[in-house]
Amino acid sequence: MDLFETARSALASVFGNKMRSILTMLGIIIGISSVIMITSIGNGFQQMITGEFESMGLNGVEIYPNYNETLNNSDLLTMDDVELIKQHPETSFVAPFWRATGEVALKNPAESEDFIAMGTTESYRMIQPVELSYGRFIAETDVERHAKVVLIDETLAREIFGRTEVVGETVRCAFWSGSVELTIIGVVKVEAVIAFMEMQHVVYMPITAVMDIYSTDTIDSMFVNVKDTEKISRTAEEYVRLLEISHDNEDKYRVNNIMQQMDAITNVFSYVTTFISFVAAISLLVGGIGVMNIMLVTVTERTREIGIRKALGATDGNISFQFLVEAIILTAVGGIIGIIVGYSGSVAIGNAIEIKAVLSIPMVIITVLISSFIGIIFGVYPARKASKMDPIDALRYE
Amino acid sequence: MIIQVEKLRKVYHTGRFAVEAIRGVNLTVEKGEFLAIMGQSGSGKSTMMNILGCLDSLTSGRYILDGEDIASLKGKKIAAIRNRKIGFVFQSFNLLPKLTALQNVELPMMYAGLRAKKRREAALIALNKVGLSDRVHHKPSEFSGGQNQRVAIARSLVNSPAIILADEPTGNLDSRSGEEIMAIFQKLNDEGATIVMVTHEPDIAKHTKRVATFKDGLIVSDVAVTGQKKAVVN
Ligand SMILES: Nc1ncnc2c1ncn2[C@@H]1O[C@H](COP(=O)(O)OP(=O)(O)OP(=O)(O)O)[C@@H](O)[C@H]1O
Ligand SMILES: [Mg+2]
Repeated sequence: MDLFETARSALASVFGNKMRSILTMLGIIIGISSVIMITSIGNGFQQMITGEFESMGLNGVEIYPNYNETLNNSDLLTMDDVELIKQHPETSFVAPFWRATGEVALKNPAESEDFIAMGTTESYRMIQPVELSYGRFIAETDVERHAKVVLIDETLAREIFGRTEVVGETVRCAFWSGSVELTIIGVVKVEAVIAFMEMQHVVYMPITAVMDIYSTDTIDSMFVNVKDTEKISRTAEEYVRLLEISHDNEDKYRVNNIMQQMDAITNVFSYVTTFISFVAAISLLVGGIGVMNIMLVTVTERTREIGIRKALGATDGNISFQFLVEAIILTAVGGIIGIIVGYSGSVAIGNAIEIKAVLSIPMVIITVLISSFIGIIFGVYPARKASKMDPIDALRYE
Repeated sequence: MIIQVEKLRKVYHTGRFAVEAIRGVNLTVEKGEFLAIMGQSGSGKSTMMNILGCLDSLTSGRYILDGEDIASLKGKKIAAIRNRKIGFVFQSFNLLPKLTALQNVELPMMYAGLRAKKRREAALIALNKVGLSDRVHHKPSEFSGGQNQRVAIARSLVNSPAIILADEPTGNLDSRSGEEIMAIFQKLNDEGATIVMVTHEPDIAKHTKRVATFKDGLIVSDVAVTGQKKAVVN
């Protein structure tokens, strides 16, 4: 008895009773589609985060001195260290930071506003996009010339000048070490959300200018973007080693691997995925029992057919194979519908929450296998029951 | 010798009662015979046929079909016997309603493991024999009773069985269709087929060559038909 013929007649039987088949498959469809939906959105989420981190240039490490009592002035990082790290073959770019707080007088001279001065270089923009309304960002030459220039945000511009197009104007800013006159070279666009949250103003300055104000030659930290994220841990160790040799010290630097933080976020999501998959597995189990139930009904309904087939020479094996194939087709078709429904659902949800759903092919294969497996598990008993029927009793069945 | 039955007994146990449907029957059927089994309702004819067709088990006695001792066979072997040695024709046709005539006739060959092309060829030949070659793709619901019984006969003979067993094949048919069925059986018998059939109607029995009469689970008479009646189909 050939498989093709059996599969064909099983398909005919499954499709011949569409409503019942769909209802039977429902548990499987719900189970499979939720697994597919969750994993597709999960994958999309993961890829989005990875992509975002990478596009932000955050595929790198931040290196900073380990601030504690044993730290000496000679251990602090300098611009020479930045140059040193730049030489490493794995480095694609380095952005140094010097963060300071300052104060600026507003339009109404009685009022003033605090801000954070982010001293950095032109590389900063590769880590974090800075959208400008007017002017330009810090340039290499600003850093070289220790230019006393600044970028302020739109809100601050409005508070100081009553308008936003203020490129070329000067502002007097007070720092802890004294006050200084800065020329505005750019105005940073403020997103509505941030404006609403009234976060502290950030102004950008060439790092060298900030260092001058504080009369220092050290920096807070540097962000190093690496070429190969796969090797990131090893590369980071090499960076630390280079710094230790240069400063002749040991265990003074720390590395913050931003990719690792991202892993932590995606890990949380994978726990959620696992949990929901577990719930889906229960639904698959229930679906499997539904399949068994309907297969038992089918076997009873088709008692006479079984009798006829046996009278014509079908073996027990032929009969059980026929019903098993039918159960498998039922669950496999349910699985395929589940994949289609699940993927469509994830695309729809993805559109709503602006995540691109990504269908994982191994997951598709696994779910089809699982649903077929359910067909086997829950199809065996009804199939056996069918095959054990006595031909004459089956023929007499009305 | 195709069939050799000795001291065959069949006891049904239903609840507290035991019914002895066959009470020690001896019967032999030679190759090429055309035997009619007659008798009152409840005399054990169907029981006998089901045992001969290996659909039911016997309680005691011996049954040898085409050289094989049936009583000792089970499972796959008995399925193979039903498949290769027996062609059964039922009163109620017992065709699969969702399959076409061609597919129904192909079924026994499917279980015999024949390839699709061979099955198709043989099924077409068999359907041609029963005069249905122009309707092979019709389903049972699109046929009359007589036509369905012809499909069933085609199905019974595709595996060239040692014997064709028919339990009241004309029982559900009008006399004209019955006559057509008998004509087919006579033709098959002329070509060498061995046939055993149950009938209530003496008119039908006259088309056979030998009549055995059952009464209360025993054969009470077994006579040759003198002047076998030729079925006329117009
Ligand atoms: N499955 C069964 N269980 C119990 N008794 C049965 C069973 N099948 C048949 N019998 C009994 O066995 C006897 C013979 O029945 P059988 O069906 O062989 O008669 P028959 O000659 O074919 O009758 P009919 O002409 O009405 O078809 C009857 O008394 C019947 O009640
Ligand atoms: Mg009967």
